[in-house]
Amino acid sequence: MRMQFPSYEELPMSPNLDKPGVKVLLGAASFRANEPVALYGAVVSDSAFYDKCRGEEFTWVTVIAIARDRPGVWSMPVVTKPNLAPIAPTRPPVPYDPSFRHRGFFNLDLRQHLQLPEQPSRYWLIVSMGDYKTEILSFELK
Amino acid sequence: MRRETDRSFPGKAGVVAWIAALVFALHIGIPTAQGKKSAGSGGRMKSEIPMQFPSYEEVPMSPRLDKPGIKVLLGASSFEANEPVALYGSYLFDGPFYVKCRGEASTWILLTAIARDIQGVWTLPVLTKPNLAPIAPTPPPLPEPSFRQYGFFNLDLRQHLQLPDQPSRYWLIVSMGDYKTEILSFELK
Repeated sequence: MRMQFPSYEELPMSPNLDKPGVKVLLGAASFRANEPVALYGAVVSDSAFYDKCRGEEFTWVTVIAIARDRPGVWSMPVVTKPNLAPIAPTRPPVPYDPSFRHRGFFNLDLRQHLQLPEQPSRYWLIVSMGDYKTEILSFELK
Repeated sequence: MRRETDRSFPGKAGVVAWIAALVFALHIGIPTAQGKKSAGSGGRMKSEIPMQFPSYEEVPMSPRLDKPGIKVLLGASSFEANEPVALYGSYLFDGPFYVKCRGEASTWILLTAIARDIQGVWTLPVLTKPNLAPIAPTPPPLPEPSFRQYGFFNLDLRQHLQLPDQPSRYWLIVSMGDYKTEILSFELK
């Protein structure tokens, strides 16, 4: 059965995270034309970040692709909160609890999500979430 | 008996006033025409002549590069409100990159600032090529293997990337084709 993107559930390819942060895994190092550029991600937030993002971690997880063979940067949050459902401005702060952890998962086709151009190019990829960020990864679109 | 005093030389009170004026002038840092560099608090680079941004010439703060690549230096690690967020950059490229960017390296240098305390990414090339002067469709011939070309840029990131006025910490990465800087960090107060 073919994988559907985007999705927000845990998968066998979802990275393991044992502390607050964001971690991603690319489905491959290079992708053929029209093949989904699969990115599997996991986030863990603590009490302070959960409060900072008002429980909307995915609107703070930003995927950034920097082209190496052409000038261009493509970036987009994992989820863009529509204006019809704004984040509550007066949400009461979450009491600080050092043991609090909130997990989430995301699975994206970067080609579709970032609207990457069809021409072949290599890219750098970085994913950030507030104070957390991934290492700089690399992938190629053939 | 009345003593004659030399009117051209100040008395004791005058000497004290001169010393006080000199100390005050040194304290407030009266500008000089030399634009001398000095390290202030927190290692901040201060120039007595305000730097103009953007500019594309080598300045004393320009990073040194001895092989093809790109290198940048932030003027400080944190910046007060309305203070220019100074970024000094140097790049060096070889023949293959010259052909790849068609001699327009500045349009390939991309600044990406990722906010840590607010949501957002701000990105822009050092130079945007206007439509009136399009890049030539045919690439230039490959220069000889020893070909090297230097360039410099000095930007106020706040102005260049149109960073918002809210305080936030940012990550910064600068790329140029296959070359990139480390991920740097700065704060807007």
